[in-house]
Amino acid sequence: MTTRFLPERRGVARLFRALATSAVLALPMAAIAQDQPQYGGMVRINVHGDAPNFDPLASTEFGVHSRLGLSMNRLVDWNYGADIAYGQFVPRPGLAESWEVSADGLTYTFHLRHGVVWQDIAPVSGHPFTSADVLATYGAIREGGVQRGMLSSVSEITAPDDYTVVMTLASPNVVLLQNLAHQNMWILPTEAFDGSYDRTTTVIGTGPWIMSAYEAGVSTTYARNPTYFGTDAAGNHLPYLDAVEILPLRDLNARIIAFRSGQIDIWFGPLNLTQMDGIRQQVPDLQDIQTISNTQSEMFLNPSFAPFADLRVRQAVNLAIDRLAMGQVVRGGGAIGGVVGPALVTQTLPDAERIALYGTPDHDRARALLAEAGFPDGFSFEFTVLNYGEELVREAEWIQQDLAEIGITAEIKIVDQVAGQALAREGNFQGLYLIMSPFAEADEYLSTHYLPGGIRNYAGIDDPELTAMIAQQRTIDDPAARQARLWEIQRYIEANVQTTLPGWASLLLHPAHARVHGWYPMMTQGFPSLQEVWVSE
Amino acid sequence: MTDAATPVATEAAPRRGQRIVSTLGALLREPIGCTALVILSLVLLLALFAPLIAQYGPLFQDRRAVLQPPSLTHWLGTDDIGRDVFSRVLYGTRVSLLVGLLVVSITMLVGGLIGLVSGYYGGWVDTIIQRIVEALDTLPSLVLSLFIAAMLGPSVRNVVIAVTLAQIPRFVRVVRSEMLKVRGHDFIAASRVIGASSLRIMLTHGVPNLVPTMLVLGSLAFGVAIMTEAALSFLGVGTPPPNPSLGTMLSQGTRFIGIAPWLIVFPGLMLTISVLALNLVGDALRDVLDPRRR
Repeated sequence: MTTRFLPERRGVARLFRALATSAVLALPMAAIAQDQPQYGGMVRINVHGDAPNFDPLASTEFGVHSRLGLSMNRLVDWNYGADIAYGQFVPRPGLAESWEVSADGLTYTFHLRHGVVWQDIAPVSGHPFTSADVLATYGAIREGGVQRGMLSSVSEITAPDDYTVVMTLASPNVVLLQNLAHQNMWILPTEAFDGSYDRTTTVIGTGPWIMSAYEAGVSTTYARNPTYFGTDAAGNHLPYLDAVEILPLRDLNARIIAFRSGQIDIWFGPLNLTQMDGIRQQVPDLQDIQTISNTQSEMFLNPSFAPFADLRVRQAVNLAIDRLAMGQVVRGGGAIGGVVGPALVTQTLPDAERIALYGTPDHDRARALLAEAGFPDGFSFEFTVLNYGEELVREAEWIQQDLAEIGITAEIKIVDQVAGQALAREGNFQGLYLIMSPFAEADEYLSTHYLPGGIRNYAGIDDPELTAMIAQQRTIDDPAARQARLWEIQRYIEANVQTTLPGWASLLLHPAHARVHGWYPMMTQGFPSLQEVWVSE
Repeated sequence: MTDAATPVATEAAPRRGQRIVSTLGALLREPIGCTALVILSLVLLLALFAPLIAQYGPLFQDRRAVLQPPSLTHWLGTDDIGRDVFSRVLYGTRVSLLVGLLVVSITMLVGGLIGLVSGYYGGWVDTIIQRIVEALDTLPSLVLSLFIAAMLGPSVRNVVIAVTLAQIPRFVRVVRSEMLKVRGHDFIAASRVIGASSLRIMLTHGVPNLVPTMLVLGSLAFGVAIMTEAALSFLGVGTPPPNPSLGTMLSQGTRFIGIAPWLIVFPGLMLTISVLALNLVGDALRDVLDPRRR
């Protein structure tokens, strides 16, 4: 039974409850006691989409990269584990065993693993992995890969020997490691780029499993790669599982039935709490793994609409919204949004501060601000809501009533996602409400929302001071110092900008059957923890 | 005596009032028709006076009472953000009836006119119109409405357009068929001989003879329009939130069917009662106006 949040429960109890909830949900709870891992067996995962083709340079489709992740590796990877949050990037050696950064932050030297071989598939046929493969892959990406933005700060890539790659940057960019670990940055063999084979249909990697069959709309099957380089903490060879199968079940009800009946071991994709309750009744011993979503709802206030040109009006709107109650009632849990989304636990402002800034409605103060701004009787505006589903519309309806209480009339207009995004890009709106794209780095939030020309800068922000702050944080190598700077930027935005008001980040549910051990869902695509998953049957 | 089988041959205006009264009287003598008419009148009154009857605005959220079962405070319970289900049902019925009324009015006007022209003139005019009607008829009306509504986007106006366009072929076919019968009578030929224009003949002789058929058809189309509006709203291409509509309420209620069944029971009940009453009134009207059934 979902506990519903009631508005009279205010104050300290609410704060503690929200803090406790957020703290607990920050970590994926792969909760069951871990016994000794066992080799063998298989798991099935649903991925609600097919792969149009397997060229990682051609598409950012999750259907492609989720599948490639089982067979391929990146230079740097996302670490995982019980103490690492779903959205927390902790670099883990991938094909690069180690790396060094020069004092000026402009040169990255990567030392590649020795003894890594490509999967034994013609024409590559198991030859050793070398720096030539990295140069070929990154060269092709920089020339025309969909993920070329990940290397935009890199001016030169060289390979002094077979096991060293050196990247030279035009300006310091502390996000580079995370860019190299981006979910689209798989390393392919040189043969993928010289015409020796067709990378759109053939998958050859260095990863834990070999893709043995792909039948669109039916399944993708993988068999254990006996030459995979990975080992667990005890030095045991990975992966544990003999096989993995991905089922492309698009229909939600079909996925639920498949999970209930045990056809699916690990759930991937959207699922709400009501549906989860239904599943739990059928599978009472399932692992209820919950994380905070890497997306959040956001409200854009367009300063070209006269009332929203005044910062005090935007602050009044912010103060009108009771987000904590909204999140509890509409979403059934999650975390209050922020300038940087709450899933990025080390980069977003601390929970208590986000609650203080965005989760403490004060209607009297809001009315006073409106009066100061010359709108003592409020005003009306068109509130364009992108149709990202019923729950987002519910949030918009909630906000509508909150605003009505301070005298602002929001006339909700529901538009489909494509039309809404076009309106947003054109700046053709007064107020806009949507679910923001998933971002894995604070820099993505800041540069897309607040830099002139940023693709999510729907409100047309051009603040030289803020622009300089965003550029400067990219040069801070020390994690603690960078975190402090990111927090300063978020506070600056809250105090001076407020054209984008964060909403709510919902719960993400990742149920898995009890027989699955060692499963840690992570924000990045490709299931990085799957190599250490084992099954107890 | 005038009815569908005995066409009127002269100006019928002086007797129209008497005809309506006698039809209504006959309808009230039919037990089922009478009951349905009373229920329909009640539904109409509830919808019409919704602002006076409802305890809360349809959008007002009582956040202290989320997903509350029926009680003295909220007679039919509340939804997932604390909105009063009774108030929303009343306002949702308003939307349904408004859509039904607009659809029937426009369909009777446009479909009736096209059917009248098609049946009166015949020849190539009739051929072209009937081929278009047949083409539209190949698609089930709900599918056609769904297609049009999805193309136009969700709004009450677009629902009216979508449902109307899907209903017009049915009216055209029936009116045309009735007009073909009327056209063959001697008084039409007589009118032509004395120099009456086609427009005058259609208006003075065609329309009065088509009214009974149109009334029956209209009452049935009213029910179909309400159901289609609900179906389109249920599928997310009808009346957009936050405005209440019975279909939207049903759609939103399905998420909570296990824990808050009142979210779908009451809108569903209102929908069923409204459509059933309309259909029964339509059936009774048909019986009253059809001399073969007396």
